[in-house]
Amino acid sequence: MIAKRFFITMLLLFFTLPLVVLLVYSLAPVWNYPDIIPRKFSSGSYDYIFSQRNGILLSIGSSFSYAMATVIFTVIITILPAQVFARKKFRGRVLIETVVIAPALLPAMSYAMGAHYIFLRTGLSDSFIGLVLILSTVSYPYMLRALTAGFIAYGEEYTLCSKNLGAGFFTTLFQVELPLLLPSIISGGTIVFLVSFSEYFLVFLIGGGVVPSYSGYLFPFLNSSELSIASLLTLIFMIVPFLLFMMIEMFLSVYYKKRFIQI
Amino acid sequence: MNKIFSFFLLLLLVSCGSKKQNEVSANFEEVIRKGSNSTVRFVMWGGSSAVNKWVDTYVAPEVKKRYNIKLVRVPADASVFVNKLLSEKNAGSVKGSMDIIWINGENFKNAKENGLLWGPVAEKLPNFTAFVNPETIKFDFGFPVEGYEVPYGRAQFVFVYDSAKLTDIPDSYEKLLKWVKNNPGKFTYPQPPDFTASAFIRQVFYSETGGHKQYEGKFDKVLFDQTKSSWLKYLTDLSPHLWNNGANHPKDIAALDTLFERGEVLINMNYNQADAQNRILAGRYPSTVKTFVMKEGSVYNTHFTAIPFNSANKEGAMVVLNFLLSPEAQLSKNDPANWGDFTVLDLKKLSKDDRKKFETLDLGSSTLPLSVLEKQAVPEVASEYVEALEKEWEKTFSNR
Amino acid sequence: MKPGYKTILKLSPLAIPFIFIFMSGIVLTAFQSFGIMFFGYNYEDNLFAYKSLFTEAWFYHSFALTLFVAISSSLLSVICGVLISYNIWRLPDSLKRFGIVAKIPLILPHIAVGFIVILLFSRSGVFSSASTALGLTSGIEDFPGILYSRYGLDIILANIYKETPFVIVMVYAVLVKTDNRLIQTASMLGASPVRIFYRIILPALVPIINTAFIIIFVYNFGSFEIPYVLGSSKPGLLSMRVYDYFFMKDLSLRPVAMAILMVIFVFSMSFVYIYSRVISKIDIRDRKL
Repeated sequence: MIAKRFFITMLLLFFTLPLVVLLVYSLAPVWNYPDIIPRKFSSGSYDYIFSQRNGILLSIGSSFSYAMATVIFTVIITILPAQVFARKKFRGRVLIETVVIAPALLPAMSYAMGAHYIFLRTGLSDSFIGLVLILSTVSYPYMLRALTAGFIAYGEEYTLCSKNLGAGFFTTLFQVELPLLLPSIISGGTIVFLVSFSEYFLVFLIGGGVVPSYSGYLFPFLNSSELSIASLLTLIFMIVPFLLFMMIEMFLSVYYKKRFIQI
Repeated sequence: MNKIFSFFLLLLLVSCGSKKQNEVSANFEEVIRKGSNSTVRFVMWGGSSAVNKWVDTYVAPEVKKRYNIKLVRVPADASVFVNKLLSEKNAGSVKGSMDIIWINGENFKNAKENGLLWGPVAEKLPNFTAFVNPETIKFDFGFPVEGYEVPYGRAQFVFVYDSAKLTDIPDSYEKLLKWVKNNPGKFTYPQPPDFTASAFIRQVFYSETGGHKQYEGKFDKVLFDQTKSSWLKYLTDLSPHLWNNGANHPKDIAALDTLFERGEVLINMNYNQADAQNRILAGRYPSTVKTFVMKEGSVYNTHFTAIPFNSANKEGAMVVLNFLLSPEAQLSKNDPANWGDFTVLDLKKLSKDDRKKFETLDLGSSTLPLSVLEKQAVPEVASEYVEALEKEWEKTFSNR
Repeated sequence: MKPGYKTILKLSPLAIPFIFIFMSGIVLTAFQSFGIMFFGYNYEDNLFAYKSLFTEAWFYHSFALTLFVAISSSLLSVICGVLISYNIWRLPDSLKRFGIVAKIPLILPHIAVGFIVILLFSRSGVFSSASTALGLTSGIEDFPGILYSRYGLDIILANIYKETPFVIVMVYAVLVKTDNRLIQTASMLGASPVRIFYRIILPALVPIINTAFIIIFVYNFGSFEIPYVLGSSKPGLLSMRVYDYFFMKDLSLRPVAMAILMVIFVFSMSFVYIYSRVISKIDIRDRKL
């Protein structure tokens, strides 16, 4: 039991200490060596953040929008391929399945810098659409894997049943398959959202500062000597994904309860 | 594979749009009318919170109030946005995403030589013709400005120290070397091509090779190679006694500021004579922090703003640039509580009231008196020297 | 069976990211590394970028450092991740919920993790103050120079903090599916937890460990954000050099940046290929035994 206590303490310490330090820093504009506790606390950073709330909210809103748009776009482009990978047997399937996850595996910088040229030529750079495209490229493999696993998990019977009952392709897709796939969409979407929401370099390269982003807003502060403001902004960064995951948890529990009762 | 390539080639064939240069009226009333009610994107180095704050909390609300212009500040390093402009130019995109850029030195030279700037613009601004002495801004690091840049502010290089921790200031490069040897680990400079680091190296270059006079005019490769060894020797002598044994340097001036603030190093530097005062007022530095300049002199320069060739809102940009040159904006910028950047206006051309406001502005206890700064001021040299110095530094110190 | 046209049609949406962006992007990177299609710049010697790379000492230093940082941070993340998830898994159900804290770094962006390492580990940072208070060090100079170290220790620390949770999530998912009866039996027969870990748990985790290692290693090898925030260590990681050559130096030197990217890309691809080949061979041999 002592060992277990020790383990839990270490676990909590290891993972939450950084947050505690961020919190203390956010309250102390000057925290110098060798003070364990800052000599002076002030709400200066909070005042500053509050005065800048419009810009901050705008950038968070923008980041949220392109991250969400990326989730939706990746679902759209991977749902049919995932179905194929889960259900169809054909020559070269394993090879294709392996090769198409490459964009998530191999360093994004290596192809994004080249793709930047194409985006410039086609007018996609500095645009919301361009940004969603590049973020989708980096993250769609996660969605693809999750959906493929989802299709495998519930088997083909549901789809066949629905078709036998006379449902068309889209009816089957929206009424039967998508609801069944919801857990997979959520687990894949979580990763896609996180990757897109916290990405800095690609947003900087393709979004070019025109598409506001929270990571782009945060970055100059992390790089400045304003440690207190940077700490507070980092804490704020975590709020969005945190809230989102809470909502998903709540939604899922309600959703499944409802369905269960109906059945 | 064939399909992939044809698809790919098709993409590359998507050609650029038509290039229409929309005319900007010579009548500034007309410019103001057209520029009002628009959005202007101001792309600038984002490493100083004081500067950011001044733009966000003074310039933006003022131009909003006066012209209903929405000013958006976009943080980016100058070399990065010049690079981006060049890519845009070659890709043939007409509408760009930047309306004003903050620029000088080698980046200006690069930009102007590649046709990335729209102009000449300076003479079109009423506040420029009324208040600026054009003789003082003819050259930017030895490169002719020709109206493609609008002066924005003036700054001078100073060293920063805390008088409570350091009493005997090393105010010459010889003394500095001695001091660093006696206080190992308590001094360093950022890593070039950081702007401040580069300026520090330039001054070592001046002082160790016999002054700046010989470098006036065009870049002289022979001369540079001749004198190379002496300034490199100074920095090499300095190196092992620097912070972290000189094994590496703080990546930029912000990182050095943090080291100074926390007492890891005892001497800081800044290419803004009033930055220390600004930090005292912001509660970051104790009030005992002071500044000094070297006996050998300290560099000063003018920094500028410009309008990119593909700005989608040139009128709006001009309105903002004109506002930045107004005595009001320049005075606000000059106040150490805001930024502390010196004005580019010719005080003789201002009204009596305005002149008095500038002359009576409290620069703070840590800022050196103007007379001292002026006496020690030495000019910048051609930007090729800057690049050559950075290159030599990297060869010598970066890969060890 | 050959794929039918319907199958191909259904797969076609993947062309948008895979062909239009990923493949075209890498082809263009390759072209530009040879100085072709570089925005109006003309290069007489198409191999100049590679020549200047392979003849300069910094490239080899940088490559070695990148490799070292990627290997050590991936290995340590995997080790931490496996140990932590195994211990969470062994906790009684009532205590398992504490395991959720291990997910915190997942929602922190990379740039923020780099920043946190600066706050904690700089010589005048939180840990240095703490060690002075505990009497371990007596001044700023006594604290080890982890930040900006020659060996990229700061980058390794940030990578570990960011990636350990990723390993935990992956490994835990496998642990949950492990047959508990096997462990109970072993335990009843007197096997110690350590022995159980090595004999039963670890073998079951080998495939997921390999997968996690490949993913993290390749990511670390090409990652830019953490080293960028942490800043100078000489000679710096390859990705930092890319940024340097593309944005900070003479514009005509940009093909060098693209050439470094090609090195990163080809190396990563070969690593994934060879590693997966090797482990699949080992798998087969195991089965024969």
